[in-house]
Amino acid sequence: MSAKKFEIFSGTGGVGKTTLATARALSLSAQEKRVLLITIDPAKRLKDLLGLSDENSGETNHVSFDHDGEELKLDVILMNPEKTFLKIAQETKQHDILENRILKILTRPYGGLNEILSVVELQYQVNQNLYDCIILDTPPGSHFLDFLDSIERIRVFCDQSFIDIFTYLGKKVETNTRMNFGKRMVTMVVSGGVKKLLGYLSKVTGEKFVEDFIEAVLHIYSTKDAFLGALKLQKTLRDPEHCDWYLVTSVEQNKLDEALELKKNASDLFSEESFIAVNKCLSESLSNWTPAEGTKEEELKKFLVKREEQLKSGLQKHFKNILSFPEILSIDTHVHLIKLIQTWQKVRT
Amino acid sequence: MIFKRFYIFTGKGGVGKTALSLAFTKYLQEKGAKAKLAYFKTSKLEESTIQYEEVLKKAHELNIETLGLDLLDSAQAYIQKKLGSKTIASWVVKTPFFKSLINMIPGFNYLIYMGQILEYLKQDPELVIILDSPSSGHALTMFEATKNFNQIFQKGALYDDTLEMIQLLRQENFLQVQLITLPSPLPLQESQDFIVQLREIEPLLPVQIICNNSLIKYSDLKLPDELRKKLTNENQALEEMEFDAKQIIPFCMANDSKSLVKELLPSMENLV
Repeated sequence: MSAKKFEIFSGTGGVGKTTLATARALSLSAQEKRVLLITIDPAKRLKDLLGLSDENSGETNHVSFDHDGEELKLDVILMNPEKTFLKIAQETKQHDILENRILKILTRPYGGLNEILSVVELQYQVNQNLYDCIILDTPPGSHFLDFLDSIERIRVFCDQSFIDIFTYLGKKVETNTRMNFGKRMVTMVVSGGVKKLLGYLSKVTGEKFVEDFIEAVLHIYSTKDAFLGALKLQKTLRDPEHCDWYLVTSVEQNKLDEALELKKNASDLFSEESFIAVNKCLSESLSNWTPAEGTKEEELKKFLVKREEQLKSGLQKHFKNILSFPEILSIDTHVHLIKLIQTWQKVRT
Repeated sequence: MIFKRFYIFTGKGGVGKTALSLAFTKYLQEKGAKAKLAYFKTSKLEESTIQYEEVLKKAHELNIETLGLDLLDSAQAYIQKKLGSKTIASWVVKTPFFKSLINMIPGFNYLIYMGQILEYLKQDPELVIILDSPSSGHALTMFEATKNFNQIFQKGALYDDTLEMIQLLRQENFLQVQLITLPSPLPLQESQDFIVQLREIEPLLPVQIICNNSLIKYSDLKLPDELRKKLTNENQALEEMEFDAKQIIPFCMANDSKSLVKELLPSMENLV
């Protein structure tokens, strides 16, 4: 099994996902592949180890990692929604786009456009065509479906709301995108088809908001090619020939329900062919432990082994590819990565 | 015993937020508080999630009162209050424009949810709400949403309302955020990083880290090398970060949610 063009790592919780994705990227680098890892907000220890800092977020960092004397190279982008948005704005020559305060705020790290802009960043990198493999560590702290959904949301946003506005406004909008346009737009909008709705909106929010909002919408609309371009990705990411999906779970986090929900809701993307990475497995290392019968020790061992068995057998009923990663008992992040790279080389060769 | 009004349980997936928030709500109920466990019914404009159904089932088994928060219902109730018309409100939330607005700007969801929770708390001065929030990124979005939109609106009714929300959240003894994490060095470190981020948004935010699933209770047992090492790493990390014993919840060997909640109950006093 060799690497695909895309590998997507998902799972709601960090607890190991980013480290596992980083180790995967490094294991591919060890196979002489040109690899890009896109991640968002890794733990400080991991950033320090890779020599990354928040100041260079949004940019491509060339990282080298000492793998027992062998130097592994890897490109890493720490997602920065604002920088991604600026990148696409520059392509459409709209340098002042973030002067709009709504866009400025929404592109903050937790402003709410994370998922959508990750897809846009991915597409941007695909267009650059510099890599054999791109690994995307999906934004943490969000339900994985948000990421999948963001593609659909781009489509809905570009279709429906714009049709509402543009049907009324006609083509004038597309030819005029100057900054002071918002105010005149309000006057036009308020006398037309969306008049009622925006009228109600301005009653609640004040007119300035409506003005800024329309301007923000126009800005996004002017960069719509980048957003819509990201829609093309949808097809590629659905194609098992080009993309592998990994759901990361751990023995400590019983994510059986979540895995099944994903399979149900995103069955075309997330199939029985997808990989389930079960992290922090203990059973193997406990196999030599034989506590006396009836002791608290025996109870603990039984509980830990059973917990792991139940998770794995539950997953096996629904997924073919289950990869086990041992719990790594070291507080050194470098050691963690090296052991995980070794496991990757074992489970995916 | 005096309780705060609003407890938010947050943290990464699988750290035990749901079990802890169930146990905590149960604990408050047993202490005579009018406590309800709030949960987002939908993450967006779709049908309720399996996870929501699961929580409801568990809460029902344990006789815990719940408060399901529905996005469109909450939005409609707010618009209705502002515009004084049910017809207009139900029309507004059905327009594709409004739906796109909510879908494209996820922070907007959280503003609506937060507004609804605070409205419940205002209406009933005895009510205590425990929110089992989806995950740490989301909780951050929720706090930030309120402030972001306050800055976005600048003036008008929504501006006034977001300002009121911020003031309410800042009231003394009103809010407590429980950041749940696991006793390994990396998750503990991440929680500390997360607190730094939270404090950038809200410097005085009352937030404490709760370390779940600690093996500490088993330290007297004859453990094999692997578990002993795990325990040593855990202790070392907890010590380095100057953890208070009160912030540590022991690992429970329970097979179902009912017995888990029962085992967790004695530790809940420390979370008040």
